[in-house]
Amino acid sequence: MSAREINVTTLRRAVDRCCKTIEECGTCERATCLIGFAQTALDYARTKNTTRVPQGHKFVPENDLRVYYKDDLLEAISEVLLQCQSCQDNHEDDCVINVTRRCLERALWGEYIGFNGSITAYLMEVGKLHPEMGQRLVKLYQEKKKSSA
Amino acid sequence: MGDAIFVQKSGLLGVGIVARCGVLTPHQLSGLARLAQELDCQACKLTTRQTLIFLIPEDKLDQLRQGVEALGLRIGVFGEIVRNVKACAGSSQLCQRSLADVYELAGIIQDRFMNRPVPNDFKISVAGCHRGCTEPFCADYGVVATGEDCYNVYLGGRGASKKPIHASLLAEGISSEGVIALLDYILERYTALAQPKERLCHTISRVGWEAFRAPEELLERFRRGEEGDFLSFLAQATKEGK
Repeated sequence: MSAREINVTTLRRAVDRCCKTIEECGTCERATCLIGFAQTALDYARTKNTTRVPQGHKFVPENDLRVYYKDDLLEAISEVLLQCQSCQDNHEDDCVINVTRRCLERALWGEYIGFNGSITAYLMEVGKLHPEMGQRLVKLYQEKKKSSA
Repeated sequence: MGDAIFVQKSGLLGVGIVARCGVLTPHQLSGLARLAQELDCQACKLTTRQTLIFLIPEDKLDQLRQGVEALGLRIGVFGEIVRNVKACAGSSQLCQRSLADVYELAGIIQDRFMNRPVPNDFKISVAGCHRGCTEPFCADYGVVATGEDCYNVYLGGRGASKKPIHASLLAEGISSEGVIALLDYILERYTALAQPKERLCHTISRVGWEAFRAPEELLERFRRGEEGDFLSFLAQATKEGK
């Protein structure tokens, strides 16, 4: 997958809406903030014209315990899923899509949802673990998919 | 070892023709079509290793040789030598998924190493991304691009036979120059350690992986440092408060 196939700008906008802003946080530390980290991963992909963020998935800041706005996060995850290529066996952990999604799900649920390269399997897993939000995510994703077709 | 020329059941010769990593220009393609007709070629076969086999009568061999060379192509090689390089269409102009210009790298490797004598056939595959369309895990020396001029190298694979073997990771994040230097090193080790006609995977299994591990000082010269690239980018972004 090439960076040309991912609309990084749209993704970045969706992630930006999850940012609590410096007014709420007091400081802005991208390396320790889940949203800042996702923004930086996207900026890296855009600047380098690549989909691979070396070691990105290993350094997601797991100590960020802030409470983010659920609706914004769900919206952003649905955008991530829309851009995801469902690479199946060729899924790569350091893919910018994967890194971004991990940041967002960590911010939303405080845990990672397993991803094996299939969006369908992922949505089913979210539905199992978080039934109410899972349903909403499926709906958002389907709506986006329909309007982008 | 020798040229890739095989006598068929019918008595015809199957002659392997090699282009640079399987890519033919329209001029070469039309030239080959003309040659095929002139030389009474019965059929042309595309092979799994991106070569082309012409089925011709034996007395047309010299004419085929001359015609192929005039088109800037080569007769293939066979036996205990380094074979032609199998490469994907990963270049700045072609495959959307490609992370580096592997077509160029593969061409350099083929020009430099093809036909070099080794204990048994030695196959090289180069892929422009981790999807590995050219099956780099099934080659003796498999190269996978992970970024711009940044490659992982896998060693000791074998695709065919009753016991296919997956290659193992030999080096991570090295430059194209490193890929070439490492290949040179591996071919030397293989030649020194293998028994006659022993395939690389068997040599590795007999003498152990350590005997093929490249010296750190060799790899260090060619490391791209890409693995720390994002972290530097992150540190810079944090510092700038972007």
